[in-house]
Amino acid sequence: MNAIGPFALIAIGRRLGGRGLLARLRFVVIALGSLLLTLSLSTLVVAHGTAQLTAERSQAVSPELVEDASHARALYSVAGFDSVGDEPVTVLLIAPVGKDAPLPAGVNQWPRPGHAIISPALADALSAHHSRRFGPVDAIISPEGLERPNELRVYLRPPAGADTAGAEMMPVTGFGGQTDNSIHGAGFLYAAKLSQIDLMLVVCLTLPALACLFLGAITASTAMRRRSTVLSALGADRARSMLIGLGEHCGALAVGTAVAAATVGVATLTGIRLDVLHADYPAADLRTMAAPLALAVVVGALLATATVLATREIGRRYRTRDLLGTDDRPPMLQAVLAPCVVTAVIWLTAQSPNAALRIYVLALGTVAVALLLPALVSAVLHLIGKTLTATGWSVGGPALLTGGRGLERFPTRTARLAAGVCFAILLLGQVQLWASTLGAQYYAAEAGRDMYGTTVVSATISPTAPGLSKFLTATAATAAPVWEVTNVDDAFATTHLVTTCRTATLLGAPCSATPEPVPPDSSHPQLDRIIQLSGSEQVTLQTSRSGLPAIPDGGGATLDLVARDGTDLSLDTLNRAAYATVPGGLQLDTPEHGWIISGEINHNRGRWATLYGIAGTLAIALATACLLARDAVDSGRRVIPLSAATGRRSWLLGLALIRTTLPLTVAGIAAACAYYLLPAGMTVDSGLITGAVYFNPSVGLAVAMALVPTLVGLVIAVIVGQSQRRDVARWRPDE
Amino acid sequence: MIAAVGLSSAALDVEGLTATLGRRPVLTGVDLQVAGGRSVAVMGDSGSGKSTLLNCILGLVRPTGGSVSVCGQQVRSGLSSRAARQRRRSVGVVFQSGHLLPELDPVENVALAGLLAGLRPQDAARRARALLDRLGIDCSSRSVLEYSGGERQRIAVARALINEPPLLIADEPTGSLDPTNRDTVSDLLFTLPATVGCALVVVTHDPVVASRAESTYRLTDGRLVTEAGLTVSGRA
Repeated sequence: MNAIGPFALIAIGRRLGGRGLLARLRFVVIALGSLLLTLSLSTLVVAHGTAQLTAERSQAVSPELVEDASHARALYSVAGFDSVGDEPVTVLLIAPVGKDAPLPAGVNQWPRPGHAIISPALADALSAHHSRRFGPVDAIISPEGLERPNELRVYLRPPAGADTAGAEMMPVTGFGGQTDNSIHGAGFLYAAKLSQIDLMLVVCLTLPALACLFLGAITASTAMRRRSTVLSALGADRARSMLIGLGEHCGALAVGTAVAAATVGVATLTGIRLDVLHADYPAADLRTMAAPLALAVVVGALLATATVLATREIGRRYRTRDLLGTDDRPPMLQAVLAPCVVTAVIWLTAQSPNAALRIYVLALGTVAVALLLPALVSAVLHLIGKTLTATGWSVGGPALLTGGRGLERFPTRTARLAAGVCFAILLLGQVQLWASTLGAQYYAAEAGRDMYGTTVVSATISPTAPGLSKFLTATAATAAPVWEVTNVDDAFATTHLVTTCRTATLLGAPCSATPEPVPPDSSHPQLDRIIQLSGSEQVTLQTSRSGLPAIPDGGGATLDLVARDGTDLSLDTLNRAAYATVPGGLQLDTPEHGWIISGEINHNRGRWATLYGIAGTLAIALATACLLARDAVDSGRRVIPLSAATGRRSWLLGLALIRTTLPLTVAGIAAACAYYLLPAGMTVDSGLITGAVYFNPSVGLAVAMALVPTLVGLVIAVIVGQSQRRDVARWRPDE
Repeated sequence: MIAAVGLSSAALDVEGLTATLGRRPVLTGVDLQVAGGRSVAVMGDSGSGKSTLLNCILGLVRPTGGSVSVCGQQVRSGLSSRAARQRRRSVGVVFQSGHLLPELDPVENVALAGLLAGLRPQDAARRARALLDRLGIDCSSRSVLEYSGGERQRIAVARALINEPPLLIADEPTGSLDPTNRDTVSDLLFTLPATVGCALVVVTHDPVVASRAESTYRLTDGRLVTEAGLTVSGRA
């Protein structure tokens, strides 16, 4: 033994790996685990690398402000955030001072006066929405000038002769210098927090990958234990035993790592673009992360190997049966408690007005349900088993009788095998829920948009802003202005509305030269909308027969534009007019549109979580199915002689379906239902509570999470069934 | 001579059977006839061809020559539905380790073989209960795991008998039992030909078990010989 070198021991291990069905399944599961683990680490690298690039590029386009205007080489202003297709657009106003004025990174020329330079993604978005709101476009920003490759960004140069005083343009000496006051655009501000991305990746990919490796390695534990005993008896120490173990799994580990490395390699050559997820990772960006990506592949391979070998040690010490248990009675109390806890969580979260308490109840309830769900699955399988057994007796179905009795007699064992699916689905579901969490404001904004559309749009601007009167004149045919000035005294808000008598009449309000209180319910939808948006306890209205009355000083002024004909105003037309007349535009939109933009970004995070969640569920389901397949193959060994002796093989597929697919299906459905129902008291349909957060359980994800285990179970059952048919054909009495 | 037991109505008729394992000849001309109600024990060293002989009788291995007939019908080899049907109807098998299903109770284990053979559920259950009753097995709903080794082997015997086969084959039926249970199961097996009317072929290493059969043969060099060492190669 001592003369055998490590490579020879690995080679022996490779031969011991086996070629049967379980060996092949184990190979697939370990390869998948290794692939997912390496990909999850690589994705972490990409997420962190992208965040760093975003920060660097944000810095590169940040202006170097200077207090002394005489040193200014250019003027710069953040006009605000507009939106196209509910995605935020960074609107920046720039103007040169002198001939050699510096340009922000990614911009190679100054736009002509009144013209724009836009990002490629904005060009696509404007084209998709047939919009020319930013006026003529002179050039496209190159990638190094964008915080994110798919950022919507526009640099506008004020029209020639425009008065830019109101645009508060700041003197700058250049761009990209070290400054503590970087000015960030939408690409930086709306990017997901790294901690959120890390959590999502770890829960949805890394943990399922480790579970895959664990379950894959433990599938072989019985045979491994036997071999280990023999090897120990022959004098092999732990190190040599480990080398043999490495040989058993090195093929699968190598394939998983190789596929992951190839995927990463291809990605660095072609880049990654997934429009449905608003994801764009150019090849050039990925190549800057080549070294850490290579390290991630190496670490992934080492971690996968360590996991498999550690699991092998566990499997060597304990029999799989010890790990899984052999109880044969479903724990009915826990089974009954599971739906009770779900109901209690729904009721308590729906009834409680305390936003924080609702979160705690949901979190605790989810943990409790995760612990109780395997018992429920066990009880359901027990009942299904009874029914199948009875049906098997009544119709003479051997598969129903045998499979049903197996579920009836060993439901806990089966449920424990399927418990991984329950935990995985609940865990992945939680990630999706939290990733798509939205506040009450979002739903209020959505409700407001659904009810009022764009019949009233707003912008925050000084009444004396240059170019504003030109804008109002240009849009007077369709939109009437109403000014809002809100003052807050001792937490009591008063809003003063100022408009023309003609507009007041349009809104169904009386004309009055002095401020008159407006009833909270004015019975005119647009005036109601303005009152509602003001959020003030008291609203007064003052009108003037000729032109606007003087806007009171103090407090911020908001310009509301009211559609004269009561129909939706065209935001594109209004904003185009604004950009043409007011330096930097007005970014007119429905007042709560920012919430909708944030909500869309959250929805996108939810889509990422859904994608990762499905991948994680698939991996866990496959690994669990492998374990169930092992159980089915073990049980199958006992039916094969009978099948061979009686020449009946067709029932083996039915038996495999009952033993493998059914537990996975029940576990998948139970966990998907729990995921979907638990936050039912905290969805927007349960009523809005100020300050509360609301969850968006995804029907699609729930269906996918219920279907994926079923489909995996079906595939595995067919494979097991076919394998057993072959075993029957090969079986001889001397075996 | 042909190894013949009760020639009047042969349940099993093996003539000139030859078979190979790879290129190695294992059976080189086996002749064996067993009539209903009679028992035969076949002994032999490991690798002598006992299992191959069983496989040929069951139709699981295609012999290279000769023929096997059960109740006058030539045994078909392979897994075709006709071969399987013939096997279900004509041969019952008792395995060394029983191969009972732990999730099923004794009645279900026995009835399962009946269901696989196409018996109606009620008939399968009735026959199973009757057989188990006759073999002294308590028909409770407990898993067979809760029964002793001897009881399990008796359940396995009942399972082999449920389809009322004219030929019962037992492959090392007492190989995993202690002497007490071995005797109990042997008693049971060797009374079956008389009580049920089937032909019994027992393959065993155990001379004590073999001695209970009406005839005992040994497989040597691919041929059946008597315990006295005579080659059985023609009709006696």
